Amino acid sequence: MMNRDLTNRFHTAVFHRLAGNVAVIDRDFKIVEANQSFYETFGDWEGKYCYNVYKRSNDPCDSCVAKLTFEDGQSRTKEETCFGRNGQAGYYVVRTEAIQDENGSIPYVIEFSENLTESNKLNRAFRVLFDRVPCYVQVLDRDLRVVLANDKQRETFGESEGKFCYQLYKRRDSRCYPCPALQAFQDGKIHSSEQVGFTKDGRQTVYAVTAAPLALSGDEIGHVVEISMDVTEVRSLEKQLRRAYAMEESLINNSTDGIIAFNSDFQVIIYNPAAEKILQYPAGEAVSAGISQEMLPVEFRSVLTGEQQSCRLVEAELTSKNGEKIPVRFHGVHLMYNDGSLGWAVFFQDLRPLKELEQQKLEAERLSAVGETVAGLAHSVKNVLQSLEGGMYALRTGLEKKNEERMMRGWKVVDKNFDKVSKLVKDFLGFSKGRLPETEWTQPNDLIRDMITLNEDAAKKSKVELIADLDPHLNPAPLDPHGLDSCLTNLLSNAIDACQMSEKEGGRVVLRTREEGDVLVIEVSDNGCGMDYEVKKRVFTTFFTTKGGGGTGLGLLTTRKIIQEHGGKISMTSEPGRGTTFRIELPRSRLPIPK
Amino acid sequence: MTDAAKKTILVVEDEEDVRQFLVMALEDAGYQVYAAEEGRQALKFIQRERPDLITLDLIMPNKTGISLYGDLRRSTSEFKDIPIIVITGVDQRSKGIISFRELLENKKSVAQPEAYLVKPIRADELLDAVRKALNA
Repeated sequence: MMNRDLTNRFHTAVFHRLAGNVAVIDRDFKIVEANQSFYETFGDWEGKYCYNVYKRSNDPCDSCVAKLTFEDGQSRTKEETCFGRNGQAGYYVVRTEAIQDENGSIPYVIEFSENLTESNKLNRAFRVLFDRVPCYVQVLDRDLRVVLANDKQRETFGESEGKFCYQLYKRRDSRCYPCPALQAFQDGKIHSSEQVGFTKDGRQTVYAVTAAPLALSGDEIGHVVEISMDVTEVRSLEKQLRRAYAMEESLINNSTDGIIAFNSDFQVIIYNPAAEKILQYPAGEAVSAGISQEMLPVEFRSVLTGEQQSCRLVEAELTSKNGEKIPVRFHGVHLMYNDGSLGWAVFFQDLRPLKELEQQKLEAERLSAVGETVAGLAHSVKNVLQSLEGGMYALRTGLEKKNEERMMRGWKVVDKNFDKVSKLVKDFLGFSKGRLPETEWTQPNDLIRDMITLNEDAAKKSKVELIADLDPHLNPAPLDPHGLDSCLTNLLSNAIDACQMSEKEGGRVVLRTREEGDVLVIEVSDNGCGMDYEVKKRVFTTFFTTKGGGGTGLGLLTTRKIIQEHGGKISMTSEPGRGTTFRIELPRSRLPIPK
Repeated sequence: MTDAAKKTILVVEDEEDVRQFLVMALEDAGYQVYAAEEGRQALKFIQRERPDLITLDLIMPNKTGISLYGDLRRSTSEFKDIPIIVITGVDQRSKGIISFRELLENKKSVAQPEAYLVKPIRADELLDAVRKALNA
């Protein structure tokens, strides 16, 4: 047993080291003793009344619990607002305990006080969270009665506390199954489900519910908390998404263009029936084997490496399963979402049917040109024959009449027309050579520069100036350089002739190249005599010449034929007295690819 | 040949060698011959001189023979009675002759030419046709 002195010291030490604030007051509410914690919380207390210290007040409080404890000896608890030593207000819970003396009277009351400010804040924060959380939160008792609901729940479903949840949400009189709250009550686990209910204004909503047991005392689950979220919008979006997906799928499947999409590992995600038909790889095989880069055009690699976002090719080749090179119109894109890559998609149109048609059309155009040419040739030949007949007549009658002058005239006509027939035959052979142009990659600008150099002296003699107006960005093209050279030479010699036939001085021929979209354009313009309507109409149609005996009328036809064999066309604008422009248009997509 | 001496013939032909031949052959036969290189020139001459017969090429620059033929043989034309001998190199199937045939078929009032000669022709063929046309 401790001696009394030691016991005293022990009690004093415990008293002062208590974490709570402890003060002892007498019946006048004067503080007679207080511990260290009290001093640290409220400051100097000696000789002061409790209301001086707690409340910074000079008068006792109206609702004083200590006073009641002095009266009946019962312990009491009350929340008070008190001021700390630095004058800061705080929430405190104060408990009073009576100290009875041996007579049963109460000379002193102990006041325990504790600062609740922090826990109060937490409480309020919890309440705010409970009310503001963007879901419906409610607490149900075992009867499925709502005992607590947050603001959002009340806003949407109306005043709910005390009502049964099935009344509130479903507008029904009995429980519904399956009920996640009932399940939670039964097995103490968390249950989720999707429910359809009605808001207070009758709008049908779909919400996802999670019910969690609140086990407060022992095994008995007194309450379940239900947290629900309105997923009406989400469900409707899902439905839209499914529709959009179905639509997209049917578009892809019914497209006549081949569509293949693959991710960054070259795994095939989309491979439509058109792609299958063109490439001959069965869908299963293509999807499982993935896409090999060799199948795709070389130009598309810059998209695969990320240098470019897309690649559009008017004509490209894909390799089918059996190794066939399929001509296609190709479009490949890098698929992006926000800043991330989803993979790639390629779209391709089978050009084989189109090519076939084009080939047929070219053939028809060529045949029709040949037909016209033959008709024209017949006309030309007949004129030559008629002239020969005339020459022979003059010779014969000259001989009969011994008229030397008439004989000479006849001889000259025969001689001239013999030359003419030779030239005609030569030109015609050149024209009728039915062949595909032998194309090689050619820079048209070089062709024109060479031609100008070759013809410059002849042009100078005719007092005609040759001007090159060349597009510096012109790309090389697959052309038959000899064929094109003879076209341009023909047009150039026509243009020089036209300048000579003009009465004006300062003859000028401009050779122009341009890139107009997909079309390579070459123009030969002169400021010479120009053509009237009758001449224009017949420029390309028969063996027509305005050059008297100097031309066979085949030059422009040959030119047109060569241009047509390149898949291009030639047209002309002309005005009498002002000049003529011949325009050659060569669509790059139609140019024959060099062998 | 004395009967031919009074008659005047206009040769319309663009090809010089052929024109010279026609002129020469007809002159040798005793006709008074004039020549025109194309339709417009020919029309002017016809309006001025009214020849007894015309030989006409169909395909020529400026005004074609077809167009001239149409003008001369129009129902209102004062020259519709002048005999015309068409001398042409165009093939029966060619565009030129098709448009000439259309001219004759579409306008029923336009009479057929007195002769239709396809080049090359010899001098006696020409003279035969001329004689027939003038005596008709």
